Amino acid sequence: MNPKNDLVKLDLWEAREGLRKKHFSSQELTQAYLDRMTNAAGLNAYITPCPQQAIHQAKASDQKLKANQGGSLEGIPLGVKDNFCTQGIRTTAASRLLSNFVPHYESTITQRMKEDGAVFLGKTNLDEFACGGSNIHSAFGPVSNPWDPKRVPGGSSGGSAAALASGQALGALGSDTGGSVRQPAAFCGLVGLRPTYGRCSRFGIMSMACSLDQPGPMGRTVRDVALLFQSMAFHDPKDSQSRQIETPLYESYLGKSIRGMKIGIPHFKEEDFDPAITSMWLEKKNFLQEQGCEVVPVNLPNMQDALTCYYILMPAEVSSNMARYDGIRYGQREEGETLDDLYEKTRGKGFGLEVKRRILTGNYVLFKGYAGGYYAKALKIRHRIREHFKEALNLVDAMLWPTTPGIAPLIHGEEVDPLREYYGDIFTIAASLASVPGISVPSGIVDGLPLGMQLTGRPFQEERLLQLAHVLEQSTTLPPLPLQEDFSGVQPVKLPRPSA
Amino acid sequence: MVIHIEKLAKLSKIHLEAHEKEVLTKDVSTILTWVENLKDISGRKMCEETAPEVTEEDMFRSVEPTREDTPFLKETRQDILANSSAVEEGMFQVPLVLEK
Repeated sequence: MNPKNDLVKLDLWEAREGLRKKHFSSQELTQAYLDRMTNAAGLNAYITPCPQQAIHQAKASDQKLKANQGGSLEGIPLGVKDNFCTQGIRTTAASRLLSNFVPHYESTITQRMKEDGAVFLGKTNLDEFACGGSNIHSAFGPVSNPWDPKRVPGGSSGGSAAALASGQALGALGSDTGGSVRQPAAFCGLVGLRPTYGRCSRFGIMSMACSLDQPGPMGRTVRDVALLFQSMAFHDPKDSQSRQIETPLYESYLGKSIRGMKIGIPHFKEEDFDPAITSMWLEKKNFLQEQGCEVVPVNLPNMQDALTCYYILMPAEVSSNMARYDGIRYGQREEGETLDDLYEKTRGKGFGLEVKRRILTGNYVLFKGYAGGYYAKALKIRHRIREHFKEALNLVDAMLWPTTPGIAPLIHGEEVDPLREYYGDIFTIAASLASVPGISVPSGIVDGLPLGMQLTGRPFQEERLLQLAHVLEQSTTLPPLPLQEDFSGVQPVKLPRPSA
Repeated sequence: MVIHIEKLAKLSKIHLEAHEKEVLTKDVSTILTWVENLKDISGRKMCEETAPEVTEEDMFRSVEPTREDTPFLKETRQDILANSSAVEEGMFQVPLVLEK
């Protein structure tokens, strides 16, 4: 039997083996994580911890494990981003407006993971309605990066990333619209997969931008991500975009040779990068070559154009999706003299600054008369980006480039130049627009903070990405994640914002 | 770029405090000025070559697959009303919309 607090050091695959071999129980494992959640509460990774429910689920898992039964994730404690609806458990999307919302239905993904035996530790923090890349835009306060609590963990799935990296979850669920799984994974030294659009069900996940949203798994290793993803990839008739495509056994691709695979390297200007990132990129290119891959240059669209296109299409979709939050059927209602007055006050008080920025921008670009100049043009550019990716991916198995242009920034207030934060998405946006899968793999340390490299591949061929990522991760030895560090002295960062 | 923030907020049905109006006027203007480089992209013929023509009329028309329009959630009236802060006689309560 392992000492109790050492259990959080095990990765998901090791913990699953330990549970199956009865070296420890799910209750012991879950309790070790709940203890970490108490110790590291100051990082603010969770909005709603669910200790009672977690122990209840763990007990049920132990019964199954005792009888050598149970699903693929039986007894494994996970964190769930708080934009996945969970029946009977408060789901806020980190918005003041939904601070008392309790869904009466379950998202398809969390439902399936529960059926597979997962134990849910609680609901993790995020940028409000997943709008952001830093997790500072949360009505429940910003999340701290466990590598350096003065810095952001990335976003929008920042709570999931921080929980995983600080031993407060063994795996986590995120959602990725423009990079919200890959970027926080990179900033926290983790693996994060954005599946192909249509691979995983969006049903029950609060919509941000419907044509881009996709749930994704986050883990400490590629193998962990493959195990979580296995439980998430299936056809769901409740999501009209969910595709009926056979799901391979992802784990069987790990350890397979990558000899002969073709890797594309997109061309960027030298000045786009920190020299430390450029040298990390070169090192990984060389490593893949040594492993027998053929490395070739590929032509991708200008990333700046992709970013511009994204910041028209995404706010347009956000403004439409946010229209449902009127305070009538759910949410914190503010009283008003008239119906319009009620809507305006409810939304004025309920939404944070970044969500308001996006709604206003989105409505502007959709104005009759303007939409042709903005929205229709952006749709054309998106089409062209897809064509570019298609051409490139006809020539190569995957492409390799950095996940982020730099390390995790310091936590700052919300009233700063929004473009600064938007530029942080520059390398993750294009794969989202092209509807192709992407995975971020920990690849190095700069100024004491982790960074990731991104592999993007052909639609619905996540197994190849996992196969490559599994080899790539072996090229890097990062300092260990702060899974057992004492965070009891860390105080939650307070930003000037009306708190929920 | 000139942004009529009050008009935009009214259409978005969001009440803004004076301080927010100031910040958001600046921010939205910055974002829109930045996305104006879309015109340069067209100039570089990035999108004109292969992209099909999309008009303002048809761009809102859905061409995406749709699912069968059959209910799959087993919701009761009580479930649906449970999250509303103002319910009366099994219905959502709203301010008067018709004059007495």
